[in-house]
Amino acid sequence: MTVEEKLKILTDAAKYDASCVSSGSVRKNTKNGIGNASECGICHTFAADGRCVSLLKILFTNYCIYDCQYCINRCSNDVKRTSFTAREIADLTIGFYKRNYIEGLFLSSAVIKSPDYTMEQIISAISILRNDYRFNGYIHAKTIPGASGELVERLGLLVDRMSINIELPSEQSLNRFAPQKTKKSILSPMKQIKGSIIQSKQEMVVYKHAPSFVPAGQSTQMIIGATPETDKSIIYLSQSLYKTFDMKRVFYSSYIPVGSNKNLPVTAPPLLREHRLYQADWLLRYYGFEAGELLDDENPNLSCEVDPKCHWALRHLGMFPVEINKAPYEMILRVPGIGVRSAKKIIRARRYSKLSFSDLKRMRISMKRARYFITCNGHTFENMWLRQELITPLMLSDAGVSGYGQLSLLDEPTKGDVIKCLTGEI
Amino acid sequence: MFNRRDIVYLYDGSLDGLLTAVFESFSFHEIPADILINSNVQESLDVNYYYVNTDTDKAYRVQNAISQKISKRSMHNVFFTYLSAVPDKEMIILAYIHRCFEFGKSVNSRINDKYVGAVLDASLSVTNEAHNFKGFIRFLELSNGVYYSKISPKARVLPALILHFKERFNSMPFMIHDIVHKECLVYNGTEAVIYQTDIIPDVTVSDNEEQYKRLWREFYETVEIKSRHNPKCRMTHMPKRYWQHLTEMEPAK
Repeated sequence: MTVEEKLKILTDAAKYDASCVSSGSVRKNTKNGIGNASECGICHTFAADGRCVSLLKILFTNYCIYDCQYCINRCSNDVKRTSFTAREIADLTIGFYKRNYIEGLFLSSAVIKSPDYTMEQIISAISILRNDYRFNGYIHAKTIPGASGELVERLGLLVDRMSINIELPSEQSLNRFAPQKTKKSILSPMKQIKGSIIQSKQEMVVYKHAPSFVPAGQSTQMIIGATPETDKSIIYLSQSLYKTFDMKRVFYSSYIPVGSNKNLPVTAPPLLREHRLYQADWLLRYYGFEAGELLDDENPNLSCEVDPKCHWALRHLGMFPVEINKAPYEMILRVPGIGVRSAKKIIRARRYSKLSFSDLKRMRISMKRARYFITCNGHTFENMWLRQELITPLMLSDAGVSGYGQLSLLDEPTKGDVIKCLTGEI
Repeated sequence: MFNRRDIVYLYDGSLDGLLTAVFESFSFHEIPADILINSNVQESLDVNYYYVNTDTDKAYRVQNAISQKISKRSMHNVFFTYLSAVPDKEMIILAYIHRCFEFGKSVNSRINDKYVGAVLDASLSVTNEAHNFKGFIRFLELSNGVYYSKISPKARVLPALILHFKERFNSMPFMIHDIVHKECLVYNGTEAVIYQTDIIPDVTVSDNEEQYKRLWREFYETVEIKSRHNPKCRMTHMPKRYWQHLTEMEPAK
């Protein structure tokens, strides 16, 4: 089989992994080496589905001994199988990298023979890159659940980011659809990676040339919509992953029907749900929200009509309006429509002069939604009156949904919603 | 400072020229009606033109005053605004430099000031466009071992790209050719220079170039999840003006 055919098959098999991030690592180039990592990450192109392509995302092989029902590569599925050699992967990566097609490599694999054997294959390809080609670009590798701790350690010293997919949001679902994977086989490497990262950081403080272990941290992914978990259990799970394992990112992948199991849905769940989960995820990581503030037993699922931050604000109108010139940063960050960048701008500028609405406009701070929730020097925007009955329909008309009273959570999301939910970078 | 509605400064288009014009404005205690590049001007009769003689010494004094007395960041903002495609960037820069000396070190926090805001916006737009090109540049491997690429940016982004590609490619020689502003960044493996050129060279690619192009297009086609096809989203992140030099966007031969 030619490299071109292999590339097609093994890209096709790898593309359902959501992660394609190249940020967080500051790996420097070395003498006679090629490549470096860019801390903010660089997108090299965007596929026709609007997803960023930053890494050469491929599988080592799609021969698999496992039979996970949601996965396109499960051994009971009839697809064309093939395998790269370590050398082919290294040559492809360097060839693409030199032409600036990619920022680095994202290497994953189906499980061939045994978890340990698969890990050794992944390590051999990455060692060629790091040692023979002196490649210092970004490498993201998948850990195989069940692989030995010693192999995880070896791989961690070669790559920038490591990830192990949690796959499904609960243990019951995992037992049901991925019987060969266990919660323990997924969580114990996560714990190990976290420990080694902390250790390596401490060593680097003491020894200048201490090797860095997974400098860009670890991430994980779960498939949503294939199993019955609520948004609440998903967001609580994410929060504990961030807190317990210092996860850099949790990715949510809306289930795409590729399975034949009659217990799995035959149609794809709305992409809007995935989008709302990402929004809630951002609120956890950058906006100081706790999972409990966004979702509780009364609201176990995120609202379809408005984004989670706006939904929170509408339920806590007593905390608004926020005075732009006095409120602390944490509160300004909670205003719908004001993001981290705008909040920082406000904090910076108000040290030197009182800010009015026209100042905010000049600072290019979007007033579209924020105007209902803020005051400048005690004035509301165009004397708007803050009242829930008034604001909610306004928010909804902004979101392109008409007639607040007619809406229910059971409604199909409109076409506008679907398009909007896709405009977020995954 | 007098606002002189009747005088227009003309400079040669270089950064030194513009900074000399700023120097002259300060030394004459006047603010001209406009500062323009001399080659772009159709002279009219009711305006007095003052031709600024580019003087590296004067330019250096302005540059030095900003970086020493205000901040390196402020000089960076001036430089990047100069690189931008904002139509009246010269007058914005002049007003910004006035603000620098008025507000001192805090100038970059006065985002609500019209001119400070304009400079920060312009500077950020150049940074952003340069950042996009860090991803969207496509090199061709030439038969002589040099990696060559063409770009058509809005702003003159080459100075903002030197360090990134130099560090990344180390000893690999490369050229980035800005065909809009007719500038070419050349790196020979040790040093990088930007020179002006009208010529777009006819290049000979290496033997395996076509193979890599094919592999890349194959990868690009395959990586899309067809059930999530969303060309509008792609266009938001990768506007069409970048497509003309992208290998994956060329129609396959």
